[in-house]
Amino acid sequence: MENVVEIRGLCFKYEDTEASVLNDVNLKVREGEFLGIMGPTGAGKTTLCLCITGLIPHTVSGQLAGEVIVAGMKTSEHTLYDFVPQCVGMVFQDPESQLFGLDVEEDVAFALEYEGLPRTEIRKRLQWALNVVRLDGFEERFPYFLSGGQKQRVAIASVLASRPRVLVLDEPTSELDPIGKGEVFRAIDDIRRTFQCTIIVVEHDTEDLVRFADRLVVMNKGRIALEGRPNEIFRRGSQAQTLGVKPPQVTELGYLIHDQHMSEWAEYGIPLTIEEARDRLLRALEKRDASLGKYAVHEHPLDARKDEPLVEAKDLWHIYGLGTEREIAALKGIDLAIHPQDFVAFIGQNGSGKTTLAKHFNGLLKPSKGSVLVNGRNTKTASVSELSGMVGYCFQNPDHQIFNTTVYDEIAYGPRNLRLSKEQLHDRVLEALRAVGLEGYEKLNPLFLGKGERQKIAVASILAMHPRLLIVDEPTTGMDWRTLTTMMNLIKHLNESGMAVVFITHNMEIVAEYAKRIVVLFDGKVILDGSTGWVFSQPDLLMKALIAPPQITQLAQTLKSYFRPDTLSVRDACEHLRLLSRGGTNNAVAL
Amino acid sequence: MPLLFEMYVERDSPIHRLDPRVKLLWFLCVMICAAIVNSAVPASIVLLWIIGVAASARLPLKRLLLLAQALVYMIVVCVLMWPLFVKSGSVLFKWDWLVVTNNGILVGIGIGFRIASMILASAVIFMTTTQKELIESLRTLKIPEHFVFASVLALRYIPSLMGEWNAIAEAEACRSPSRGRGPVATIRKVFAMRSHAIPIMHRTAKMTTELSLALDSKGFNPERRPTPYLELTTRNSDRAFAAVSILFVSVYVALRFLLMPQQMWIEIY
Repeated sequence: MENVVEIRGLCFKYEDTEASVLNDVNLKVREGEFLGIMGPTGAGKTTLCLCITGLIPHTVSGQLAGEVIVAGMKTSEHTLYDFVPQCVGMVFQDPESQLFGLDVEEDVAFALEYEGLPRTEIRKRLQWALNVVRLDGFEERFPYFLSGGQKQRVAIASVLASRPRVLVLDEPTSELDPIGKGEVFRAIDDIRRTFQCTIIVVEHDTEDLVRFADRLVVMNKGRIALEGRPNEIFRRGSQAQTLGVKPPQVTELGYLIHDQHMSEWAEYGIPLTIEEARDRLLRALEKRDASLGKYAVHEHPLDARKDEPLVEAKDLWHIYGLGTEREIAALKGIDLAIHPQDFVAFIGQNGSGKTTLAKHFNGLLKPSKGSVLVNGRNTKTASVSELSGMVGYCFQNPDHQIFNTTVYDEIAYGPRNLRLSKEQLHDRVLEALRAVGLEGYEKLNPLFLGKGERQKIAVASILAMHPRLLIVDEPTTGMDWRTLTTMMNLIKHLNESGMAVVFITHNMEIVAEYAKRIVVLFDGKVILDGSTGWVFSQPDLLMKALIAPPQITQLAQTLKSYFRPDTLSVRDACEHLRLLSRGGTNNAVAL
Repeated sequence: MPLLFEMYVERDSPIHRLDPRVKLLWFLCVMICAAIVNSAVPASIVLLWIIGVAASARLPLKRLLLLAQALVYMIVVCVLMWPLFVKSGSVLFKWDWLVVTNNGILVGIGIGFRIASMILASAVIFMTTTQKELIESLRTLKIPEHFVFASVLALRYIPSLMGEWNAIAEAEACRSPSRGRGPVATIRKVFAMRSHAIPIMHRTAKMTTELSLALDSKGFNPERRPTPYLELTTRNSDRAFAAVSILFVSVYVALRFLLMPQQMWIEIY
């Protein structure tokens, strides 16, 4: 099949950076291919996408060497309008910055209007594109009020309407819940199959990518470090893991089986998808006459809690736009207590009320009905500042909370308002920097640091206030696996040193790995609240909340005669297999 | 003041169905009429005309009353303030340097009604016309595309930037001292907004860069006039409404400058 994208010896350096971002990149993409691009933050993935769409060199300036040929046209020798948007279209990471119409219809029709297509053709393509992304009937909706997943699908439709031969998507699902993520990937795959469109996707999450991609490219330090089919990239001993690419959990189980010399399970091999893993494991299990026997999942331990809660919500309601025509009940009668040393994850699909609930704990939002008590004090009569010494809130986007031009001043910003002595202030800043591992950064400008470091500074600036409860809203969005685990290990360490932690995330692997307790929200209500294992072993209720447990838990639940349904990690699954190979696990899970 | 996108009220009324260009013409006529009079009676007729249009649009009374409340305050302020400056006419009250004349009262009411007319007419336009219709009518009226597209972006990104601002303000509040309540606290809060400058500039710069990339990636060309997707049609009802508006403004211009200049415009000194 013909190559629709050809990149030869591509090097690029931005005007304001010293080092090259791309170094001698060579890549060919065939017509109709689904190519996944992975790699750590700063590897040059987005820059490569900008080169493919021709935005480099036409919109973004810098030093470019080598050539990019898209649909037979050398991008540097043609104007942008020669190949955009009919030949190549790009969907950016943040849907907010690419939806500039006053309604969905206008956004999707935008490129077509500038192409000068007749009105009837625009109408036809508009309906078609909205239908492909399953947003029929959304034509007159204002983009600002759509959910994250819906916005991303509008962004895809707006590019798709021009029927580009190549569709480039830069982390299109980073802010979506697992179900929304799956929806976007299925929509992209449908487009590829139906219209023979070439797809290039940059993505950190490999579980969906390996399912759909024909070929994967792993980038590192501006170069293509690995290239091949998914099973080649994730074969045992592959360089992918050392480059910060996290394989799917079912693949990791294969690595672990091999590393621990469990030759009796060698048949499992290195699967990439849950279906593959299930079939192989089932074959191997059926050969052995071993089953799990009777077991019971631990009941959630919350009923037994006797210690005084740090935060207590009683019949908490929150209604946005109360008293107006646009009333929206975001929380509907929540009863919940957070205790000292809790490590709680709030999970739920976009718009389920997680952030609204958390913002009540430090008084950012006041209850419309019911009450929230923080250390016995009603938040209705306390200001955010008064509660800030008790509850620290770390926002999703670190850029929203950086007010100073040096790291030292940034961390000192909160404690300075507590009227501490100069020495006390200095001690608090150093202590917070030590906690997040950023000693020596005091004089640097936080805005020029990487996202992971800015996120750590945001956490440190809250830690310096010495709160008893730390709330972290989406701490891992858009991070590669290595940065993400560093951040979560830091939060875990804070919890172990006595601080209660509430974190909000869509990443179920992170939840299973770190949280001791999960609160599941759906439509403004808490529908599950219990220990991590117990919550993840309630698939029916999770399904209702449109939540999918981690892949390894799903695998265990599909093989429920052999595995415990509350298997949370690859290590747990491997341990079960070890016990099964000893002739049954009745002893292993005696509860 | 609600944002523009929140102002539109969906109704199937004769005013909603009008061609947005005709509504803009009506708005222009109202502005001319309001601008050329300062006496109470002619200004009240303009205001009644707008109220009549608002009533035909079947706009929600609750919202109109909220607006009316603000307008009444403003009219009261005008009635109290203007007599201090208008010295013509017969004296109604005199105390030391303070002289109140009948013209002062009439002009106070007239100016109050005039400003109220302008605000109410704007509200009627935004409550009966979608932003998209307004933008498309600007395009068909051959307003330069640079201006039209800048208006689209401004309307679209107001809520986004407000969202950014709120997020920054919340983050700042989490690490700030208590500023208490009352007027002094409000002043303190305003001063505290200085610290918002760094994050808001950073975020706006980032959004603008991403926006320009997204625009270019969709083949946006400011030199090119796009195919208007929304079709605006003019019907007989539009023509009739336009004719009445033009007639009204013509009569007012004639009365003001030819037939009854003193009754329409009161000299202040």
